Formats: sequence, C-alpha cells, structure tokens
Amino acid sequence: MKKLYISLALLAALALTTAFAQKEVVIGWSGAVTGPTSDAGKYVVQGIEDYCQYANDENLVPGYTIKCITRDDEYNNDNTLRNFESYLDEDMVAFIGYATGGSLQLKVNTTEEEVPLMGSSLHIGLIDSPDNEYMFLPITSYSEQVLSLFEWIAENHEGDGAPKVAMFVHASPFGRAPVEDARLAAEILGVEIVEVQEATKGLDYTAMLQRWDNAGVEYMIGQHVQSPIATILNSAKDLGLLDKIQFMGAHYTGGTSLITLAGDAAENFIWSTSFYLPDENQPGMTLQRTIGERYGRNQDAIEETNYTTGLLQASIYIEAARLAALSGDVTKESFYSALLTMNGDNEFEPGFSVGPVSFSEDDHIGVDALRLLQVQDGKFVAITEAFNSATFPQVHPPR
Amino acid sequence: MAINRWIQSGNYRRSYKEDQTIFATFSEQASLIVFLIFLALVPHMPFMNRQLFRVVDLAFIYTIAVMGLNIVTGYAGQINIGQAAFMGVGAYAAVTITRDIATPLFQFGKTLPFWYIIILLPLSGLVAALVGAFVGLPSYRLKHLYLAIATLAFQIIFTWGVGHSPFLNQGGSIRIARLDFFGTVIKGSKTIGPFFYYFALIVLIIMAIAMRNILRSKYGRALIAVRDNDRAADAMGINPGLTKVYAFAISGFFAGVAGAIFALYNGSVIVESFSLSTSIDFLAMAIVGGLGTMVGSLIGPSFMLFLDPFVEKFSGFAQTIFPSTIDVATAMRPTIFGLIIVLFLIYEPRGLANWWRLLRQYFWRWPFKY
Repeated sequence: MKKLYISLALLAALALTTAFAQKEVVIGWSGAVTGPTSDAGKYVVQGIEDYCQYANDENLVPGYTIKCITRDDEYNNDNTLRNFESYLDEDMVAFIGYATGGSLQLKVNTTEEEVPLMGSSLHIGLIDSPDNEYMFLPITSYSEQVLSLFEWIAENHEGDGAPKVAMFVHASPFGRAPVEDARLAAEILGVEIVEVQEATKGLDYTAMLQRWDNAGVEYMIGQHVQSPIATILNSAKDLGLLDKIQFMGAHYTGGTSLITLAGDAAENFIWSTSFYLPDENQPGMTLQRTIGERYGRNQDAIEETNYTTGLLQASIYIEAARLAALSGDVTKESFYSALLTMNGDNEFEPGFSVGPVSFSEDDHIGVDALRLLQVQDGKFVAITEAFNSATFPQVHPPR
Repeated sequence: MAINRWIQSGNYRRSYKEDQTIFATFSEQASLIVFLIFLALVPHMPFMNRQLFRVVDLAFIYTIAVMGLNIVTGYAGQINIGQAAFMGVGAYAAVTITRDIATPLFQFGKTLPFWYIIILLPLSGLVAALVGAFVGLPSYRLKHLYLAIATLAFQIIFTWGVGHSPFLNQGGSIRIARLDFFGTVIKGSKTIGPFFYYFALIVLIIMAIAMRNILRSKYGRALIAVRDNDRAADAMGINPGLTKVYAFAISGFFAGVAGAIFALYNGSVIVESFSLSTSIDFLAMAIVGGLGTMVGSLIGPSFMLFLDPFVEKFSGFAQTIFPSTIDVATAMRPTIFGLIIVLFLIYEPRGLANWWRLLRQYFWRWPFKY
C-alpha cells in the first residue's frame, strides 16, 4: 500500500511538473566565434546570449523560456547551413545569421522551411527578391549607409569640380554589396568614383594611398571591417594624407575598436551607423551596461558596437515572441506573423538604435534611420541627426 | 590447383585477363555489396537527423571532387591547388545553363524535371573538363611547384573573375530551381537530406566505377607511368604532355559533376563555397585518405568532414582553459588539421587507405599472422 501511495505521489508530481513546465521558444544563431571576422562575431554572440538570459531572468515572455542556441561556424557557409538544419531538429522558430555568404545561401532555405532570418550582414541583396519573404535586416543596409556618406560629401565638398572618391571594399559579396548602388548614386550626386579597390587584408597600404593621392582622391569610403581601416589610417598618417583625404566608412568599419586600433590616426574619421554608442546617455545603452555587467562581461565587450548588434537582434526576436505569445502559442508561423505586425502601435524601441524597430510585409528593414558620427578628441561624436538617405530609394527601389 | 576466390588470402592473378578484373576475390565483391546495402539502409536509421544528413551528403559530393583530384595528383602526379575552382566551374555551369539556356528553351517553371538533371550533370562536368584541360596546358612545360602555382593562379583568377562578373551576380548567390522527382518536389531539408543522400551516392558509385575503369585501362596506366617517370613513359610511346592535360580534364569532369550536385543540393551557388581554403581542404582529404588510391578518395572526405564538428567542440573547450584575450579557438582548427596532414605525410604517407589495406589483410589471413 505504501508503495502505491509513493507511486501515486510521484505520478501527481510528474503531472504537475508537466502542467506548469515552461514552453520553449528556440532561437538559433550561427556565426564566427573563431576564424575570419571572429573579432566581431565573438561580441555579437555574447550580446545574443546575454539578452536571452536577461529575457528569461526578467520573464519578458511570460509562460515561455527563451532557448538561444549558438554555435560557431568558423565563417564557413557549409557549417552555417549545417547549424541551421540542426536547429530545425530542435524546433527553431527563428534564426540569426552572421556572414553575408551564409545568409545569402540560406535565403532559399528560409523560404522552404518558413523560418525568419535576421543577420548581422546588412547586404541589401538579402531582402531583395527572390526568396526574400523570411529575410530581415536589423538596421539600415550597407548600401544606404554608403549612400548617406556620398550625400554628405556632395553637401559638404568645398573644392572646385566633382569630389573624387575612392572606395575600399572587402573582396567578397559583403564588400561588393553597396558598390552598384554607390555608382548609381555618384552619378545622381555628381561625385566621381576614381577607384574601387578590393582587398581582404593587408599589412601596409602605402602604395594604394600614394596612388590615390596622385589621382587626386579627396574622400575614401570603406566597406570593410575595422582592422584594415585602422591600418589604412595609420599608413595615411605616416604619409601625411590625413589632411588631404577624408576617411569614412559603413557600419562595420567604425566603433570603439577602430579608435583603439588606429589611435590618433582615427581622428576625423566619419562613420555611418544606426546604433547608439555605449558612452551615449540613452536608455538602451544603460541597459547594455547593466546586462553586460550582470552577466560578467569585460569592459571591452560592454563598449563594443558588435555587442550592441547581438543585443538588438536578440531583443527584436524576443519582442516578436512576446507578441506571438499574446495571441496564443509561439510557433514559427505565429512568430513570423508577429514579426510582420511589429509596426504602428507595435513598433519596438529597445533603445539600442537611433530609431524604432518596425517590420511589415513591405518593410523588412528594422531600424530605418542612421546617423553620421565623427571621431573628435578620440571619441565618436554624432555630426548629424538621425536621417534616411534620399538617394537610396531612387537607386534601389524595393525589389 | 584452382584458386578458391572466396577464401584466397593474397593476389594470385596469373593472367592479364585476371589482372583486369575489378575485384580480386568474391569476398571483396560480397563485402562491397553488403556495405552498399548498409549505406542504402542508413537514411532509415533513427539517429539520422538533418545535421547528419548534411554531413554525409556533403561527404558524398566532396568525395566525387576528391576522386578527380586523386586522378590528377595521386595517379598522374600533378599538384593541383585549384580543385574547388573546378568544382565552382561545374556549379556555375549548372546554374547558368539552367537559367539562360534550359529554362527559356524548355519553359521550366519553378522546378526542374529529373530527366534534365541527368543531362545537366555530365554537361556541367564537360564544361569543367574543358576548363581543366585548358588549365592543364602549362603542365606541358611546368612541373612540381611551378605547376602548383599555375593551378593556384587559376583558383585566384576564378574567384576574382566570378566576383567581378555581373553575369554571375558578382559572386553573390544565384538561385537554381529545385528538382521535381516524378511528381515530388525535392525541397525543405527533411526531403533534401535523404533524397540527395541516395542521389549523390548513386552518382558517386557511377563515378567510382568510371574511375576504376579508367585506371585499369591503358589511359590509367599511362597516368601512373607519367607520374613515376615521364621520360621513361615518353620512351615507351606515351605522350606525357597530353596525358597530363588529359588527367586535368578528367579531374575537372569529376569536380564539375560534384559542383553541379552541390548547386542542386543547396539550391543556390555562391563563390565563397569554392575558395582557396576549400581547395586546400580537398588536398588534405586526398592526402589523409591516401594519394594514388581509390579507397583513399572515398575515406578521406568522410574522415575530415566527420572530424570537423569534434574539432569545433574541442576548440570551444580549449578556449575555456586559456584567458579570453588569447584566441586559442581560432587557431585550433587550422592547427589540428595542419598537424593531421603533417603527421600523415611523415608517418603514413599512404594515408588511411593503407590502414584499410592492413585491416583487410588481417582478416584475409586470419587466424594466421603471415
């Protein structure tokens, strides 16, 4: 009889545990924790993991536990696809991508599996058709960022004749992403693109800079990552070109790391991004510091824009999960629908970016605004209010 | 005394005709059949999930490319550091032929009929073979490291050329429609994984039979003769230059077929999949498997691809031991794979194929040692 009571008690406990068990919302991330570009990827993944933990600790999605699975793909497309498919076995409702190549390759998979993908890559081709129904950008695209710099040049150029610009881009789809739009915009704005230099990495850019100097280049726009831009700035300083050429760059060229790497050579560098900076007095940045400190991140991580990227991506998905939970069960279908209703009254303002996050069937770019910032006295300072590029919709209408 | 071909413990082929047989013993034949039946059953095993399907499917596809590499490097002795580019040529041939010729011509909708794939694979292989023959032309004059540099140049030119070609979307992804297999559209990882498991396996078997047959023909022996001593081969009436070009063409064909399957498998093509590091991975697979052996081409890619997730886990573990300022994890993968290649080159240059040979001989001779 005693055994029967114990068995019944155990069964009842099991039934209660099952009844009150939190349901899971599975979000997958695959990116470069090691290998190329891991200097950015390691902070992005920290941001994602921390925000997920924060969401669970603060019970941001009542009744649900957020399970963020993160795996290193070594910046290898095959590994990205492998990770994506393995997450499907774990009932993933949404995926956070990283590399441009891997995300471009996943477009067809997202459509077939009906799983949304929001990447760290801001390649406009990700949200161009075909297979773009489930593809999202968290902030403005590389194209819009680069075009905003072209507009700044056209407005602020003081010399005679067309301003001469050289572009320095990564030799990959990531680097080439804004080039076509930039050429079209340059024609509209009356800017001359002297050269588009492709490179992966280099230790010295003296020859390239001297060539540009001889060609009369007045502006350089980078679509690359921080370290080669820092090397260029240092080479330009050695050649005395910092006063002759205005150096500028899109989202992944700037941030605190650029100043650390380039030192005083970074002075006057102009950067286009949609993110606030950790030293700005903004609610999102306060939250970033709180989260970073709560989960034991070092100061380097807390001050990194790539950490903000991870926080923003995770926060958008968790908000979508919250909206989906309000209307019933969180499934990949309800999650996707919730993501598309994130507009109007449902606009999301996590405070990490210069504008609110909104998505709809026709709008797959989360934060639509950006700012230009310039290094002044060793720190980035905003030189414009939040705005949209006027030429971008002209050269790249929705496709 | 007649030889019992079920239990013979060595090579007792006594005539040229017997030497031409594909299998030395019936037991070898039977064990292969059993192994193929096992492979046919694998997709039905409960442990097969999407991730495993991807690893195995990729192993099959890469094996076809590595078989081609083994022909040119292992059998003909010509170093090739551009096999991924040849694979890329096949992949891009498949997508562009489909997009610009076949779709307007045959009015394909959102899917491609299976009969078309049967034509597309050899066609893509043929394009890659022509490019392979062209790239192989320097082998008339160049040898060893100089030829390696020539193939490296092709790899670089391929990546640069695709990246700057608007026709190829500047290396960005180009979509290829999914297959329609007699009324069933092969889309979604749940269907793609098992379908391409069988599809790639069947193509692999066909290519393996083709390779085996090439190697036991006079053309195959010419490859080995040129590798071992091209002057002696020349003296015997073999044209070494033409043989090398021919080796590059066959190698290109294998890579091209692999590339076309790769494109169909992923549903899109992107230049980053055919980078120099992939070419070096192929070379590593061939070396670890065993250069100049067919079994090596089959074992090497699987070994390396299955090892990768373990290395990834180990890298993560190693990073927890060291301070976060030292990026040990990033260095771990190239270090481990580099070490494996070096150790194989020093201690087992005949690769895993030799271990397989020793294992088989052990069972042949059992219970005797010699």
